[in-house]
Amino acid sequence: MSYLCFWFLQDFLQVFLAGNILVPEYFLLFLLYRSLSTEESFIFFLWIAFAGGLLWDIRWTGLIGLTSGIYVSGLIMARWVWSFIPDTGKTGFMLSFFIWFPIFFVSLARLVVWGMGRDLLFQAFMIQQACIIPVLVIFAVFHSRKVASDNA
Amino acid sequence: MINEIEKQWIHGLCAILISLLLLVFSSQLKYGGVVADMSTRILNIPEYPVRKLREGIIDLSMWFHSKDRLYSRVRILEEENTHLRTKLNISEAVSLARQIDQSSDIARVTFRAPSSWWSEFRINKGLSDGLVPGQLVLQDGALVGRIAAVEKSFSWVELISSSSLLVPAVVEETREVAVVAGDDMGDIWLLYLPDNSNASEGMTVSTAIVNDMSPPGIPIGTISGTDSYYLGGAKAIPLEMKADLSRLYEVSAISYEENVN
Repeated sequence: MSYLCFWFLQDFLQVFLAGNILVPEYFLLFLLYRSLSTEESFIFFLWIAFAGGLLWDIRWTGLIGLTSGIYVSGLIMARWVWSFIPDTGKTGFMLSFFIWFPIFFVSLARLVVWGMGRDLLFQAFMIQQACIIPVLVIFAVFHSRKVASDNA
Repeated sequence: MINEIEKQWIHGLCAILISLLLLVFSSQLKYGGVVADMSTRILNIPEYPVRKLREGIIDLSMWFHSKDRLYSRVRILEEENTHLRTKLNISEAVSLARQIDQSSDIARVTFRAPSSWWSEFRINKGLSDGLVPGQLVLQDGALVGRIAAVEKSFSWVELISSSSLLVPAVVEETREVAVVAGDDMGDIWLLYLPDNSNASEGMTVSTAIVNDMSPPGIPIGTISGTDSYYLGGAKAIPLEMKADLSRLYEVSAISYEENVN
């Protein structure tokens, strides 16, 4: 249900902003957060990412399979690299970096597809990143608290 | 048996593969458009409030924008209006000034020096307009002075409040003849009345016939007090001037001959 909420949050933002800025990838952000910070089945996250991306493509991009492929790839890469990090290094800051990095690449991919003037692209990209960072900070704080309570 | 990690890789690669296949072949799918239309129709329902909110915000923004534009337009029009009114007033004033200048009766006060405020002023009529020294100068029919010097296109008028201008006058009610003189400070006085004079406050003083240039009966003012003062050794009674020397814009010059005619 929470995944659906984040997907709709992203969708509503897309409707509200009507393509004036790059909409923040809140759905992928939440998926990454959940997949990196919980012990739930990663396969479940993979297919949620696939379904969410596919729905997004059908609704918005028209390039069916593009977003789903990017989401799944981002998720796999983040999870794969994350698995090499020792448990003591999986801090809130590190988690937020591992969430932000795939999103950064997804945003770059979107910029390539979007096709606007260079100045507008940069502006849209910066606004998107500015919208993502506060949520990242919140997730980092949640994760740090969770780690602290687990260690207590 | 495959372990969990391998399973994840297989699922992940399958998902990516399906995505790539969809990306490549989605345009050729028979029902691709139908699925897209259906999903749009379904998603339009939850998106409706957001769309309405967006439209409302856009309308509000447009309303503010149009109002702002309207205000700026009104400001511009107001400025234009003021500018046009000013232009109109200036052209009216110029036309009025021309009319006054063309009029043979009325002369405009063109200069009044602060240092000789109560003594003299200049008017825009002169010899070419038939003025000669000694002619009386009136404001709305009341005496304000006498032409002292005349040039071709302008003249100097000596004010009635000047101490050097002595005007023969008569108290209308008692028919006593005296002289009106100023004190260079804006006041005028009635001089040389006999000690047993019956002149009292409120009585009218006008010009008395003395020469051709000074016709009789031109109002000068009224006696404003019965207390006697001495001005230059002569007994003086204060007069209230009929003319308003503080609002001296237009005057007319009159000679006795004209008055008679």
